[in-house]
Parts: sequence; C-alpha cells; structure tokens
Amino acid sequence: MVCLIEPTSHTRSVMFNPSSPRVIHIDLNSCFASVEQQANPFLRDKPVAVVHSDAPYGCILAPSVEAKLWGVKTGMTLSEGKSLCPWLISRVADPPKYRQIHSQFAQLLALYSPDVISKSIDEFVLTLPSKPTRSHLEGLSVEIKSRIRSEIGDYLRVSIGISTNQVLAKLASGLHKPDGFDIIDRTNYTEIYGRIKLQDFCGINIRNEARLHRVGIFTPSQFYSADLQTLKQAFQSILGRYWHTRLRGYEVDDFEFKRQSFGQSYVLPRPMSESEWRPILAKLVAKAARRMRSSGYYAEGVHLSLRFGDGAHWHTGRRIKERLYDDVSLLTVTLNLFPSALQHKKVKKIAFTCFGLSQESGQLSCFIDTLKQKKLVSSLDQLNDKWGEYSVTYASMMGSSGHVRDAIAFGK
Amino acid sequence: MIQRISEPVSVVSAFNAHDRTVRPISLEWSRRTYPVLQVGLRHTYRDGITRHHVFSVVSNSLFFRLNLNTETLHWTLEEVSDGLPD
Repeated sequence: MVCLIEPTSHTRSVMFNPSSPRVIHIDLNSCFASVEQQANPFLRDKPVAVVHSDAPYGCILAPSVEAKLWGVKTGMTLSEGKSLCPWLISRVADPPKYRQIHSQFAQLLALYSPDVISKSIDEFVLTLPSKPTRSHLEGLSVEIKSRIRSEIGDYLRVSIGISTNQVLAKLASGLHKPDGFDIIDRTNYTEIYGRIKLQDFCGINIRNEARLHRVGIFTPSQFYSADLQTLKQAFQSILGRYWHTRLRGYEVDDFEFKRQSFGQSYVLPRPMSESEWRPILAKLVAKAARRMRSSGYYAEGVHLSLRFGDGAHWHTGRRIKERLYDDVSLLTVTLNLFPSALQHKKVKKIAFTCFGLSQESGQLSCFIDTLKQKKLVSSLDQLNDKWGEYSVTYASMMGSSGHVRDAIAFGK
Repeated sequence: MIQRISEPVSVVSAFNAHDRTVRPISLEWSRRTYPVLQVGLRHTYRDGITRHHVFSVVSNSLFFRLNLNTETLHWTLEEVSDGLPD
C-alpha cells in the first residue's frame, strides 16, 4: 500500500506516519558463519570466516560476530582477515546448509503473517495483518527469537526491527546487532535520526551521501527536515520523492522488481590462458542458461566481462535478434564477443550475463526447427535433474571440473 | 584443523517416534567407536533424484560430518575436525 502525503514546511514535524508499526524486518546475524557455528559446536564463540575458497586470496563471504570484533569484514581476502586475526578459522561456504535454514525461517515466519517476503538468504520482511500494540510487538519478538532457537538452531541469533515501512524496519534491525530488537515509530524517530549516520539507511551509499552533502545535508535529522524540493535537487530523480516519503514512515518499497538478467561469475584460482578459461566460461554459460530456462525465460542479449591478471578490465555486451535459450547458442554468441587482440592476456575473473529476457511465446521460427532443439535441451535438463548436475554436458565444458561450485549470490 | 574424507563409515542411528526424528547414536572410524553427544545441524540436499541427509555431529573432542544417501542407505564420513584453525 503506497501512501504519499506531501507535508508542508509548517506541518513537517508532525508528519511522521501515525500508524502502529507492523512491518517486521528479521535479519539472521552473520548468517553463513552462524550456521557453520550451529552445525559445528566447536566453532562457537570463535572467530570464523566463511569463504568462497580457502586459498589465501579467497573472498570472505561472512565473518562471525567474534571475527567482526577483530575487524574482519565481508569482501576481504582470507589472508587480509588472518592478518587482522591470526586465529581466524575458515570454512568453505556450504550453500545447501544456508538454503535449508532459510527455508525453515520462511516456514516459521509464515505462521505469523501471510505476507512474508524473502529479501535475501538471511533477511525477511513480514507485515502483520492486525495493528499491534507495542507490548504485543515486544512479546512477538521474544516468541520468534525463542522459537528460532528451539526449532531451528540454538546458536542462531536474529535482529528484529519493527517500523511502519521496510526501510525503517531494516534500519531498526541494525541498531543493536547481534540479537537486537528495536521499534521506530512516531514516538522515537527524532531521537533515532539524531544518533545515526546517513549511510545507516539502506540505500544511502557513499555516492548518495555525497549527493546529499552537495545540498547541505550532513545528518539524518537534516535529511528528514529537508523539503521535497531540496531532495529532488539532491538526487535529480524520483529517489528524492521516495526518500521524502520513507523518512516519514510511509511505504514506497512494497513491490517486487522484475528480473532483468541471469548471470554467473567466477574468480579463477590463478590467471589462466584462453584455452584454460574457455571450458570454465562454458560452464558459467550452462549454469546461467539452466537457471534462465527453469524460470521460463529466453535471452536476447549476452554480456561478457573479464578481469585480466595485470588488473585491466574488459567487457562488452550485444543484443541479438533471435531469442536464445540453449547453452551452445549462448556460448557461441558470447565467444564471438571476445576480440582476438586480447587472446594473449591471462584472465583472472570471468562474468557472464544474459539479458533482454522474454517469456515463452510459442512463436516458431521459419528457418530453424526450434521445437526439435527445445526437446533436445529439455531432455538434457531432465537427465541432469535425475542424475545430478553436469551428468551430461557439452564437450565445450571439458576441463572445467572442480570449477564454479554452487554458491549463493549476495542479496539472493 | 579440518580433514576432508570420503569413506564409508559404520553408524548406529535411532528413530524417535515421539518427536519423529532420526539421529546417529555412534560411529566407528579408524577402529574406534565415537558416541554422538550432540547433533549440531541436520540438513539435506539433492544430487539428481537422490536426497542426502547430512548430520553435523560432535563426539568428545571431534566434529564429524556424516552423509546418509537415502537411495543406498549408506553412510559416508565426509569431514573430521577439531575446531582449531588450519
């Protein structure tokens, strides 16, 4: 429900949404690391980092609460993490574990509201159907935390934030991590805006903060007090109006984005020559294409991005006239993007994306027997469904074994 | 220290009809029997049409990752660790 109300300057101070807060944001603290600590009790209360690979340059996906105290952060390499905390214990990510916990969370939260949205692997938003009192919300929070511990995992801790819209509920969930509980409503928003930073708002990154600085906004209180015209000037887009509304506790984010692309990326264990990374690209294409097909989409564009061993970056994309869905066509178009002039350079990271998505239309081609092609692709998919991923593959993937493991993308 | 293994292992497990749960009771590895004192987590995944149940368990001073293949009903020991840095 979107409710846009334009406050005037003289009513600004009373314009915060007067409704009872009923949007609940639940965040599983240090998700991947907490799940590893849940699985292995010997890791509890120790600095743990879940990594994509346990090589020294493997990326840290999630540090535990204890590792964060040492300054270990998501995105660091494992060697950087160990330089800050020599006792850091690394564990390679195990996606099926995290997906199972995610699914158990979803089942539990569905008991409290029919309106539960998964924002990512470790975040949920639920909107309560009734208008609860503050004491009811506090009781509910205690009950949810208790049931998570008794029914999902005794070491799992969540932060719960409650407000009148999703952005403020998320802000509330981050005020006291880990295991926090906060409510932001008309009674305390000024006090909370007075003690946080602009970048504490989800969506205000360093660039948006700079935009706000340019119009003289340096604090959340100034952000709230700014009129609509100033915010429009700061963002030069509809974002100005959205933030003007969000900060007053009204909802503008209760919609789902339409999927625009499917992609896969992979950091190679060492810089590789073209003959070495081609099979890995074929695997990335196959993986993205399979996800795309299972969602019922076709692609009308591909994009390839490569980072080279010397740090240089090259990328290009192309729209095509046909609608592609099979691995071979997508790979052929993608390889044609790569210029021969760069073939001597060793590659460190590959990212493939297919875009220009459209749904099945039933339109047949005059020139190609698309039905026959689709049956072949569908049969291969069914074989892999039955016997396991990559049981049947194209020869172009030979040499990619051990690369491109199952992973959970950030924000999914 | 973590040691990744992939070997068949003898496991005694029990089904509790009251709370409808299955859990390993003990396992035999390297000619020693280890009682399972705690199940940290049980999760599942599919490999094709075969569902696997993974039990993350601890004995006195060791952690074990046990995998039950529901098609063959065979147990595999996948990992042993002591919770110390590598």
